[in-house]
Amino acid sequence: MSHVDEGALHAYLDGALDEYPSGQARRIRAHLERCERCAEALAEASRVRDTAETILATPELNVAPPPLEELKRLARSSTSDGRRPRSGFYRLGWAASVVLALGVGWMLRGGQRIDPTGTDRSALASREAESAAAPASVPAPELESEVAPPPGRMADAAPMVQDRVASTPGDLPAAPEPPVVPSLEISSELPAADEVRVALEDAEPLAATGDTGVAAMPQVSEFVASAESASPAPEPETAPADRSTSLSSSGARLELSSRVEGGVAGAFDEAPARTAGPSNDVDGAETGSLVVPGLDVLSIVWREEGVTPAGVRVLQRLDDGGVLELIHLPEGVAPEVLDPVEPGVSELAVPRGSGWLILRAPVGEDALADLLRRLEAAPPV
Amino acid sequence: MTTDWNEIYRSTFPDLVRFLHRKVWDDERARDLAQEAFVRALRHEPNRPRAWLFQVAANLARDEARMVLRRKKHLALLKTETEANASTDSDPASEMDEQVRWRLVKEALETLSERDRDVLLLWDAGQSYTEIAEQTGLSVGAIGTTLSRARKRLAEAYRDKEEADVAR
Repeated sequence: MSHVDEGALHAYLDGALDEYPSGQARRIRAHLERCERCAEALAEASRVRDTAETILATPELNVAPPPLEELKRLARSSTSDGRRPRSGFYRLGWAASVVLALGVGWMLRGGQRIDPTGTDRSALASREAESAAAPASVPAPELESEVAPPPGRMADAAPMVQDRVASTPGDLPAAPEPPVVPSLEISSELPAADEVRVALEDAEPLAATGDTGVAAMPQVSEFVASAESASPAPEPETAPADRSTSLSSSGARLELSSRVEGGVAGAFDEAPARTAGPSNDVDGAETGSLVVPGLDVLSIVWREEGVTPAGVRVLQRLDDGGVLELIHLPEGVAPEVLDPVEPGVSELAVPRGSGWLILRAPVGEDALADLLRRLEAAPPV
Repeated sequence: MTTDWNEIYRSTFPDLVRFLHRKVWDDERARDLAQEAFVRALRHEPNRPRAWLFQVAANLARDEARMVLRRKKHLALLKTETEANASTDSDPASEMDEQVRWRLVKEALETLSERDRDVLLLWDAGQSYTEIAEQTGLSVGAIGTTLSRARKRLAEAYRDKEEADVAR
């Protein structure tokens, strides 16, 4: 065999060769016994290793752990102190507004179809009136400038939706880029806000769940949405194969504010004030993109803890099939509220306005940093 | 399978503090974070507690550097009398030497890439190659290579900084 590389020499010195595949470890040991050059390299590696060990051994700590029983008591108390359980279900506040603000052709199932060209606006108006009459249903925003983000949260979204929908042709020409938003469907039978269930934890493409409606479950909310291609035109060759089950973020940006006031129930019980203007900066809210361009969006959830808004969570499909999780925590919510990441998952937390933006994905830290750069390099809306 | 938390606590807590200390460079805070990691582990009861603890500890240390709001709360209650006594018995001269050495180690470690530093500190805290590989996403074979590079870089950086310190 060729000479032993430095990594294997250090593994040998660390007693870690047994963690290598058995055949490889055996060959390395055999080679080291008879190769003079590798023996010299081993001696040098040993010196480097000893030096590093000595340096790291310098700050000795006199560790005096507290009684384990005390920590167990704290663990029990912190479980019952109202912190979020690991149920994976989050209550949904303004998720409808969030998703509509993305303007990406997601739908609530079982309802009327809205002509993306805007020719069927009477149906939309009817739907809106119906929703307004139902006290506990999701406010039905109109497309274009009538999209009604909650005050202080999503004001920038309205023009974006307008642009997206207005630019969607009824018949696709042989253009290289397929429309991202061919159609929208909005349910006319939405359950009460606190009875709708959020089931987006599994990060599957939403339309692929096979769910035909909105499942009811007390105290949690669900927002099921999917992209659907309604265009009769043939798919251009460049169109992604799974367009019907996932959502390209290429034309979508999520503008959000970390300054949120009011609880979920209030948000659903009262129609939010119309916000025609593009900005909510007057109250100091900060906005920013929460979608990495070019990656499919799997879900968007407005995280809630109790009645306190606690940010937005977006899942996107990575090129290698993994899932990127982006979480925006508003001011006053520390990243510690999140569950720790599992082994093999990298995490990156950066200040976003007066809050935090957290990225998590099963990739290396460098790759995660690249994703952050892509997100931050996205052109402003 | 029932987890023997007494054994895990006994064998892992010192390693965890050691690992965290080289992240936050504050022994009191390192102990606090190690306790916090254990409180979380006791609450979550992960399948592989040791690997989980180090992963959480790394996250806590990272958050620590960026955290605006700290939750020290109850952890202050856990300070032991041993710690308090230890600080009153120290010799000022040796304490200063120790502080200089700590600073040099800190500065030398900071010259490493984050990945190399993490791998080195995880090894230093007693993690196996396999455990380090699981936490970093590297292959087991790459751990040795990373450690080799990190150790060499650490030794060079420490020597350079020590010489610069003497010359000053």
